Amino acid sequence: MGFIESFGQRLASIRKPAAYTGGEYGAVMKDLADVRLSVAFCFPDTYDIGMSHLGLQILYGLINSLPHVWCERAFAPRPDMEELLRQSDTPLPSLESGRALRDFDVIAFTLQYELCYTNVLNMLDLGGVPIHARARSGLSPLVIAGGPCALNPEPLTDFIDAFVVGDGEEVTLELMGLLLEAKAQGSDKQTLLRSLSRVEGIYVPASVGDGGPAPVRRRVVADLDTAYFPTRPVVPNTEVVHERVMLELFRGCRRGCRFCQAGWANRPVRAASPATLLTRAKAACEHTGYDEIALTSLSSSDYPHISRLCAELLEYTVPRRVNLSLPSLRADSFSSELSEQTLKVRKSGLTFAPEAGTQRLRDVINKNLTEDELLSACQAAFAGGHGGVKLYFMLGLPTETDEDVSAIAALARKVISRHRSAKGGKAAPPRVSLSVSCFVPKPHTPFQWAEMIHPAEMARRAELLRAQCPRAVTLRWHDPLTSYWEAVLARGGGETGKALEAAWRAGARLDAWSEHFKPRLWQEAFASQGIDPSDYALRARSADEALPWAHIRAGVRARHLWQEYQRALAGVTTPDCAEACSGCGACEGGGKGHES
Amino acid sequence: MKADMRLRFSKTGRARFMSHLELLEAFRRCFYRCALPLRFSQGFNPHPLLSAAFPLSVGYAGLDEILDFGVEQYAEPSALPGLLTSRLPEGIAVHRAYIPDTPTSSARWGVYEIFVATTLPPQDFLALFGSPLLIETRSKKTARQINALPLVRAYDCESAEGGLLCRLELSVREPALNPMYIMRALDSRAVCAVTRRGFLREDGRPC
Repeated sequence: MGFIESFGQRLASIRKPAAYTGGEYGAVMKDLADVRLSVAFCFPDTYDIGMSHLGLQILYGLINSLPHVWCERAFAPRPDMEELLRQSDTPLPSLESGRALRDFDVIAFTLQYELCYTNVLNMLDLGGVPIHARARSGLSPLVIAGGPCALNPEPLTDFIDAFVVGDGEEVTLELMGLLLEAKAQGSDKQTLLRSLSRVEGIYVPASVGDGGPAPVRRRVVADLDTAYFPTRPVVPNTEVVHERVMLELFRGCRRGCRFCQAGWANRPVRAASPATLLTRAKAACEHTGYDEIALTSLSSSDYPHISRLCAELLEYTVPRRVNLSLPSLRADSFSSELSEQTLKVRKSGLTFAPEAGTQRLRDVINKNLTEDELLSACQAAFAGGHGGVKLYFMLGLPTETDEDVSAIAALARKVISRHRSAKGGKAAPPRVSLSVSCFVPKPHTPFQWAEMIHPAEMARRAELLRAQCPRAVTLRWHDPLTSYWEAVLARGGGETGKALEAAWRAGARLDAWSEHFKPRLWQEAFASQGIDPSDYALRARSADEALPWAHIRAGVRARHLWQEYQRALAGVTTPDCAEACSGCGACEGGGKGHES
Repeated sequence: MKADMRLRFSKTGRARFMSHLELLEAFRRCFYRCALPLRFSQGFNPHPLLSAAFPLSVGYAGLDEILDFGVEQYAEPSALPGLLTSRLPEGIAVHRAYIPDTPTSSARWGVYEIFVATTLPPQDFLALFGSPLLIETRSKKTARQINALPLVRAYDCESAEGGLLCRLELSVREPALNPMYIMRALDSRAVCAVTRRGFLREDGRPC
């Protein structure tokens, strides 16, 4: 690790140096002499965020299970480390071998959030890699990217050689096989890209002909029991956001909330069996030494065997002082039994997401949750021993009025009164916190045609809510400007890449962090390229307009999404998949319905 | 049978950039991996009985550091070094485990070896110890100047390839002296590599 020795004690002066030095328990070291293909798995955010991400651990473990392939990690440096690297002319190194990114065969980014796009460019540049795909003529390094933002890859097509769309477990192995073969045969980049473009789930921008991009079907892993799961993940040496075993109960969601990209773009629901989950949980706990297991999914209480799984897990966790947490709960499937189970070791927070204050608006977004169900869940939580509850809402949802905003505050008051019913008047008041985000119309959802509310109007509605909220309630809201730029990039076409590059060149970095986010830079960057950002974020699209992401086929028919949008505007709900099939197309052909 | 035990361990290489709290967390997880249940404190917020004496600054290596811990069940000390080391992050290795017969406070002096990348001659280092040795110490709110000479038991220096190799025996008990203060007085911009080799008792015997 040359850079550690050359930086010496100077490295100790930066924030969290252990985030850059590697050597964690579970990190995979290989002999370079045996390595035929080297992969730098790059997370375009800081170590604290990246190491909390299950997808990174899955792909890191999966790729390293291959002989002769070594997957290493790199993260976006904070400004102090970037300054140290640039001042000393040291290229961004990987954590395992300390080699510069430019020395790898493959540089693979996971795209989790649009406001991390400048970090992609910055990491390439810091790693000594030309940022433009056209400037990298050799076979290596090949720059690829996957993750949820690859559902609209267009803003990054100037920079990325190939995108992987959908679940990574199977396509990554196919990809590694092709790369090994290409390297062994001494292929050129064009030949490799041609062969990649023929793989289902891979989008190669350079292969787009005059007729526009060919449809790219999202990859779907059908069986979570047999899919790779990392029971020996890397355990960070420094504090990260989530220090816990993440147990993925299922992928997809049966509910059909019309704003939720993860729900629509991960259909159909695929669940792991309780036996598999129990084995994975024990193995991962024993390897990591974590004192918490989180049951993760889009809606954990919808897992069909949730009660039995919790009971069996608690037999293991309670004697070992390991906490069990359920981060994503539906109020209508939350029981007092589940409430008690989550309190067996330590009190952890409880979060429900009604998303909207009135039944009318909850019907528009197809939340399929009544006020009674929410209040009953809160009462069950309070009766079970929880002293507080956190509620997620969104502002700016399609058709929202001031009445809907005021209803959020009214709902918070009702939750407080339910606490009195559950605990009696003399009990200490509950901790009720409202977390309010701004609605961003995302691709591959029924609201992909809808416009976003102007940030100034969003701020007015937030202020309206703040003025009406009871004082006992803690209210936090997301910065509307951050959401605005998220929408611009989420809905942008290929031409936005130039503005993205201009923003990065002007100094935009770590935009997902409020202390580093500079909206002025973005405004100026878009102006410099003659592009109006509001045209992407604030404009409703018509049914016949070609959407920039139309060639990415996530599984649900576009026609079905449009029908759902029309039902939303009419305030008509659609039952969830468990009650009645709505014919969205995602389950067709063994979970591969991809008709346009 | 409950037991209070002590480990002697080294923290070198990449692990030297772990902070004191990060080190304790790494050991807590390691004990869990080894199925060695730690004892917990009593009270509203129980925490494992685990303490590393005389925290090292981030970036410093330590060759013979001290960690005290309480276990629910006595574990054979001779088996612990191999078991624990195989389940710790790279750069942390346990060398000895035993039932302590003295408190950690019997250690009085830390023995430091410091490589300084500088062109200054050894005489410049030795000249620092002409009395008084005034250094500025800083806490979060205040800065003050003290004479550090009473906190230095021994010092030495020789030329080495690319710089100087300095040896210092400095107080580790309050008031403790961080060798960085002395190195800053010598050459505030030089790159240093600090290693604490071990501890001495008040009378200079190894601890």
